[in-house]
Amino acid sequence: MAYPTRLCFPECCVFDKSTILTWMMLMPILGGIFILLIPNPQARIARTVAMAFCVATFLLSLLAARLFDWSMVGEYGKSIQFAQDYIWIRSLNVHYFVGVDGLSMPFVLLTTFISVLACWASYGINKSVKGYFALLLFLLAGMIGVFVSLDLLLFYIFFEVSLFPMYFLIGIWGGPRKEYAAIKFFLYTLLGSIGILIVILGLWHHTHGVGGRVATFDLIQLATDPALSGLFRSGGAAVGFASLAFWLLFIGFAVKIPSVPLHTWLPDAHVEAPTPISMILAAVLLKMGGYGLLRISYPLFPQQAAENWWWVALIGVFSIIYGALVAMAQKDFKRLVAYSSVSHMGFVVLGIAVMTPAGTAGAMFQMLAHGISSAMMFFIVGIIYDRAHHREIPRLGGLWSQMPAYTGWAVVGFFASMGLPGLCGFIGEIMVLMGTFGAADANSHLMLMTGGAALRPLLWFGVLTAASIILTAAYLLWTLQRVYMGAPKPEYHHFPGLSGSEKWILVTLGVTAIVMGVLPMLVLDPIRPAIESVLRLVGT
Amino acid sequence: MEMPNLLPSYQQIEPFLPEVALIAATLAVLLIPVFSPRKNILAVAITTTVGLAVALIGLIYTRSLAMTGHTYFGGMLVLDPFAWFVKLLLIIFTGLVMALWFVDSHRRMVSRGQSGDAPEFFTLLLAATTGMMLMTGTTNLLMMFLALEMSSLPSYVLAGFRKTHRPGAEAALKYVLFGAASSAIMLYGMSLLFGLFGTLDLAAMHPHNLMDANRIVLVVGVVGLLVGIGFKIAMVPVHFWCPDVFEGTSIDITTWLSVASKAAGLALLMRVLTLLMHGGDSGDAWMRWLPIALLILGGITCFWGNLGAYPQQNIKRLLAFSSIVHSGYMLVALAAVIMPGEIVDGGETAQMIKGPAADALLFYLFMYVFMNAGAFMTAAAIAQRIATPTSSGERLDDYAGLARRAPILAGAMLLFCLSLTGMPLTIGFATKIKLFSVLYNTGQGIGWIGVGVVGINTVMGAFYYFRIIKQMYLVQTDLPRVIEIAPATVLSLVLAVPNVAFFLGYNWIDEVAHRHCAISLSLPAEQLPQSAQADVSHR
Repeated sequence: MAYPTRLCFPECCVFDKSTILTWMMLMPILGGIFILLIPNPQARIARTVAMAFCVATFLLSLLAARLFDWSMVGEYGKSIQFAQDYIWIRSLNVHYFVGVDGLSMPFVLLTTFISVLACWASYGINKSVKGYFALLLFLLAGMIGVFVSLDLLLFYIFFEVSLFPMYFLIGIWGGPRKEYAAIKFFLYTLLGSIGILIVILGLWHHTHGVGGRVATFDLIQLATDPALSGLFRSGGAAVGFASLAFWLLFIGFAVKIPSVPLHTWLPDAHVEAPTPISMILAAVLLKMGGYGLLRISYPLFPQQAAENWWWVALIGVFSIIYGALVAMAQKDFKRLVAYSSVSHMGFVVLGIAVMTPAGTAGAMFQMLAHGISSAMMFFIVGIIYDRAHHREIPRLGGLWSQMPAYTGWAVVGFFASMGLPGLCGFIGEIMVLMGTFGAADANSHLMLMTGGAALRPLLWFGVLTAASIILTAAYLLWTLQRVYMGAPKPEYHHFPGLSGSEKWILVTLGVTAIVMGVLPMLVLDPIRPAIESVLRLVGT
Repeated sequence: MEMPNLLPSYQQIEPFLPEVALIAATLAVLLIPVFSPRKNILAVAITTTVGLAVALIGLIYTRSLAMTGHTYFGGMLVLDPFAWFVKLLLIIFTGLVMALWFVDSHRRMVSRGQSGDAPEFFTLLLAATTGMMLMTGTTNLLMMFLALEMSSLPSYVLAGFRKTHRPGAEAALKYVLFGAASSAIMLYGMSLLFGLFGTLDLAAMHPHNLMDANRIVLVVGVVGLLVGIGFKIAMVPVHFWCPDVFEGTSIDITTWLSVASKAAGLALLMRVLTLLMHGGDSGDAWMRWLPIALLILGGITCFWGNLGAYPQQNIKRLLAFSSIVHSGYMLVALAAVIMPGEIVDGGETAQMIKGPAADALLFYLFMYVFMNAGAFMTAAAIAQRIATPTSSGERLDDYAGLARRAPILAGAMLLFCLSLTGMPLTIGFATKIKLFSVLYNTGQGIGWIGVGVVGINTVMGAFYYFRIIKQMYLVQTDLPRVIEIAPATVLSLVLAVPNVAFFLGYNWIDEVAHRHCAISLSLPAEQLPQSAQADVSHR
């Protein structure tokens, strides 16, 4: 194995290449504790400290990306870098095993990047700043932990632990129905994650004693060790468990993504959450679902994934269309953006379900692109809400003449979300479509698995998805028209222009969206080897 | 003419030093008011502490004896690793309850100018604890009944200990009536079992000894036994006393009933189940129905407890329902894993059996002591700090904005709520892992059903634990900050530490539980049924 670099106490605290991930998680935790220790900090001090730690974490992730060997290709798990693995709970064989590969590194970058912007966007928060920024930093640590853990129990712990800060951030700093939204968010995710825990412990149980092995939570070993992964393929000892496990995992991650019909927590959580928290929720937390599918479900249960592809793809397509239609009916601007997230994340599910290189790469790209565009959209909504103190689309209008610079960047955000060629949304959607139609090729994995029966559903899914892009354009353009165009309204005359921080956050996100749209290979080339390694496990 | 020696020898008494110490302390505390002024709290405190300390030392002293497993007094009493460990938990926990009484109830009563009735309180507490300790180590039906009653009768009085408190009196009455009814049912069941087997010793209740193969009578007998023990652990449908009593009594008694009474009851249940199921080892399916019945009862207990907790407005009532749910979890686990385990050699007199169920139960009980007692003690500390003349400080509404009013106590309560929910990094999560893994290890459908029941109930439970968290952290209040520095706060923080520390020390607890999970089969090897002997020699 390439990864077991076992480190124990003092070595693990030395800062070097192998401990960079641990430091990346420690940095925000230290920052949070530091803020909590300041007695009665002024808002200015708390947010400066928080920003400093966010930026430091971001710089660490940039350093990691710089040190990361992007050209490293290999089997799933062989290209793990910055690995750190030492035993934590001996009787359960739980390891503190962290590491990144091409699949997780982009998400780590996205997380730290969005966190800096969200922290910056939090400068307007005045209510108990100390708690707010400490929770924000703890949330950041938890999110990084989810993306870097390679031990399943460790993954689960981070997955759960990242819920608490979110619960409090929505519940304390949220809007009028914050308590309802916070507990709904929490219970939905908990419902899904208990299923994940059951699967994780089941995997652990089934690997006990196989060929003299110790029961393990090691994701890489579970996915690549033929004796272990064979358990869950046809003829294996645990194949009955595997089909249940695939669905339990899928439900757990589908809540997070969120896929229809498990999406109903999302609009409530978004509407009540403060703007920066919405940005993080849409940009990072939803990605944990898609990442979980790619990282855990598909590598561990490829056969079940292929057998159930139709249902998974159907859920994806249904989410795309349903999300778009419901978004169209919304009067609350933020709710509309929330439903558009449901629709966009449907592409991710579809792209993963079809199991083609283009589809999976498209799903991956779509997640990253949505991370940028949804954060931007929520920020755009937040700017209006700060000024108008409401988000009702029918009451808005004519903002273009009052706030031209803002509207300019808002248009970039809208088009990025809509998938206009040249912007980030386009690449992900078109690649998922190409992947879907590509899966209809006679030699594709799905066609071979199903003996050609997948052809007709695949074409239908492709056509429906392509058609749904019209719906996306319809609700977004219609919103653009109602909010920004039309005669200027007198009650909005006093609106100040963009503040410095608002402008720079919009510019940063907008430029990223453009760069990703124009130069997609900047993202696609580095993630390709990792995606291929996942698909090789799947069997294509 | 030589008189038969009716007095037990020291060799026979030695293993029960802890019980003897507690009985001596009970009598001493009872006599204190005779010799000293009524309000001599100090003497009571010292006597009780010394009694518990001697009991603890005696227990440690008997450890080596316990580890090999012995029966005494013609099979009336048993000392084995399992009983030893539960006794250890009981003594430590009673010490905690004593501390809680001094920092909470006593202070409150003194501030109202009442005497606090310390001698009576501790007489009852110690007597009941002795009864519970006897419950953990007996296989004889008669002794079982006596031990149960010995722990129950003082508990009834303790439940109504606040003489001027109307709800408390009502709860105590309810407790007595339910207790009497379930005792009667249990006695009936026991008499049926006696009739069937011609013996009072559970260890000898084996298909070979069955005098009449009437299955219905057997089932009724065992169910009667289950009802009597189930009453102690608040198993649905004999749980109705639990919320009322927990709400009506002072919080130290609530804590004590929710943990000690339950631990002793579960230990007894564990022993009964092990012995009954071990009889099934002979290839006869005579007790095959028992795990299924237990699973159903455990599942109903979980759901009932969770649903009952939703509308509760009183923190003690809510935690009462939460403790019913935890009983349910333990029952589900027991049901699924109560299969005969590994038979180990237990020294010269007895064979012992090491089953996964006893292992898991000890692990769970150990963790449960810290979660549940912590939650109750924090509730006591909070009530003490925020109570006003018009409110008891025990209603959820009183918790509004507690994070601002009492950040330390709110933080402790948050931790205990997360622990009871089973969130990562707390011991509640450790118990969830343990539960799921023992359920998986059965590799049977019944284990999967158990997994489903526990999974669904975990999510259901989160809802009301988060109601407490919501009140404390999400709801705003204008009420002023309270002074948090108090002995009760220290006690709750002392219990908060293990809630995280023992998750990290999972290995250690797991090993300790495993080392002590051996249950004595209590009959000398030559009296074991043939099949079991063959089993032993086979291993």
